Amino acid sequence: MNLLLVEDDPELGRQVAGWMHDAGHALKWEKTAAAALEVIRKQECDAVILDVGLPDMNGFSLMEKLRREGVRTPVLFLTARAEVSDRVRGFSAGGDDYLTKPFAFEELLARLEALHRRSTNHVPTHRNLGKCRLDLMKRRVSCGGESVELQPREWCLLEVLMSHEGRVLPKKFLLEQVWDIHFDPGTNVVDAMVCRLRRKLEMPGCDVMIETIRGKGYVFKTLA
Amino acid sequence: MFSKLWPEKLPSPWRLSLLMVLIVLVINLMILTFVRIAVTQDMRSVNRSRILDSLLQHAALYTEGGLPMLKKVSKAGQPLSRNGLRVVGATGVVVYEDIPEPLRPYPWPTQPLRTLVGKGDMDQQEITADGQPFLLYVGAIRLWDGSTLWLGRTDAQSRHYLGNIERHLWFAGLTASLMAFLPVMWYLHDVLRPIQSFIISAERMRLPGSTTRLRAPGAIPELKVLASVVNTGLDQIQALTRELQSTNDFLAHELRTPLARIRGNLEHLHDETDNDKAREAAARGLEEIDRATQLVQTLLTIRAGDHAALRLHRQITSLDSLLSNLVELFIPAAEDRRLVLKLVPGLSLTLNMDRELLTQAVSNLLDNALAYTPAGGQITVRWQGEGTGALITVDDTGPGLHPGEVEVIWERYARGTAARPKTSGMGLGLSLVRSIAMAHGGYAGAQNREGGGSTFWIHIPGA
Repeated sequence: MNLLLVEDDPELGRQVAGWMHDAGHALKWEKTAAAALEVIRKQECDAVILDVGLPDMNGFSLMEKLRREGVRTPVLFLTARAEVSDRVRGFSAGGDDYLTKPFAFEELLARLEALHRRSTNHVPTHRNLGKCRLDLMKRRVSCGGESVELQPREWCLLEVLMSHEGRVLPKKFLLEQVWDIHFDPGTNVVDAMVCRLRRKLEMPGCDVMIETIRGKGYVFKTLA
Repeated sequence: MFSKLWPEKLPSPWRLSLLMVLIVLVINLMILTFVRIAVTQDMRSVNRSRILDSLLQHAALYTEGGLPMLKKVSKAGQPLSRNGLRVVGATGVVVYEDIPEPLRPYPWPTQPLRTLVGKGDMDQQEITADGQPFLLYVGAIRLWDGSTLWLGRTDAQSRHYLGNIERHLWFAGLTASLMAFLPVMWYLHDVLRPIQSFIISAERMRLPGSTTRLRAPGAIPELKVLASVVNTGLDQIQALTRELQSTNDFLAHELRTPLARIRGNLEHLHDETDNDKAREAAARGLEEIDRATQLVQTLLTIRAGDHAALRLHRQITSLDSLLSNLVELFIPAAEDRRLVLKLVPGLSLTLNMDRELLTQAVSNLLDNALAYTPAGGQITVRWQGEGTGALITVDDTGPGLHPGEVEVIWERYARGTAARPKTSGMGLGLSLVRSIAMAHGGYAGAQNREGGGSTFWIHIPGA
């Protein structure tokens, strides 16, 4: 992916640039809205990571300006503003995703990849995991002759984990994607749900593993 | 001073009216009493002098024409004069008597009075009789031949006059009373109506973010001053609220950015190091940073909620789906703890509220219920409509609350005695719940249930 980072904090900018380079993505880093506008207008990037508090212009206003100009490049807001009203403002300005600081790097990456996938309309219909076949349209898992019963939320969780295979997804990200909850409910609700899903999938011998990485989150891996 | 005169809930127009009626009644009665005393005294002296006049006239007639003349004149004037007449001879025998029927029941004196010694001496008496409403005025005069002439008349006519005066006074009094209600009308229009509009405005002001101010067009000057003083106060509060919001924004930003820098570096360390101990330390560090971030957010939300500075993102939300989603989220965790978590559905309800904040409030109650209820227990979530709002309750079968802690637990950093060492948390959960409820114009509370366990509730009024 060709990414554009618009961030005025030097340390965060340096970190993100390093990570993206390590992950194999090309990244251009701009510190002001004016400079970013030039790059986006030339349509040189696949996705934009946009900070809200920029020295020369508010990120929301920049976003509105871009959308008015007809620029369709997916944009992810990366900001310290955590209130619902800010998030709503971000989406109504035309943003595609919203991530608050502090954030986990792999979550940022997962979100960017999802944005890119969405914009290129890459949607698989089914998937084979060892002996098991996942019908993504009918939301069904079948292993040999048996089918595994998944509750709607379990399926949703599996889909999110699977679509970011190999990425360590933080609890916060899963809560947001599966339950649309933007805070930590305290009780280990995600842990309990992941355990349940893990039991259901491991039993019939699907060659998958949902691993818990302490301090970071959960990762979906295929063993094959 | 009048507060004990009437029931506490009696509206003020009634109080004022009752007071006016009482005052008018007392004034009327006083006027009437004084007028009656004055008029009665006047009438008495008028009556007495009229008796004396008549006695002198009759004595003159007697002197001129003797008894026949007296009889003749008396007969002629009888239908009009309503006087009683009696002549007693010097020996004490009644010589002539002409007493009309109404005057007969009175005990007319027969003996001449001792004071009537010489010719032309006069005296008067007032006589009452059982069963007779009037007073009889009787006068006596010593005639030239030693006999006595008695002349009497009742005060019926003066009583009639007095009655007339009283009727007119009553009429005048009642007309004046009606005019006395003009102040009541004025009070209703210029005092009470502005006060009522104050009440309506003040109720609107309870809602967070409200910019309503007291308005008092046409009110009395004192109320206008009150409105302007209150409005100035409200402006100051609003300015403070804005300042609090911007401080919160600043704090959130200034804390989150450095936390993000630290987190990034820790993550880098975690991923790059080959040293297991270092990775473990980095993981713990990441957990602490996430906890600190959540803590900062919670504190800022509570602070803003307590001071009505919380920016609510209200949207029409179905309470049914909000609660059933939330219960569904907590069920696996509840089952892990061998607890039964269930939702008792109420009537379908939609509310205009901040979906996310309310989810967070209920989720905090569920988090508490799961932490404090021992294995095998049951947690029940219910809701019911309350006017245009809703009451959400979470019942548990836990140890219940210590009676002295029912209110204390809602304070910041407070933790109930039931808190076991292994339960985490800073004691902010419940104050966050109450702050969120208050930001919606509602409230949150708790009580022990009969038969054990406790009930926590959130009331959200209709917006």
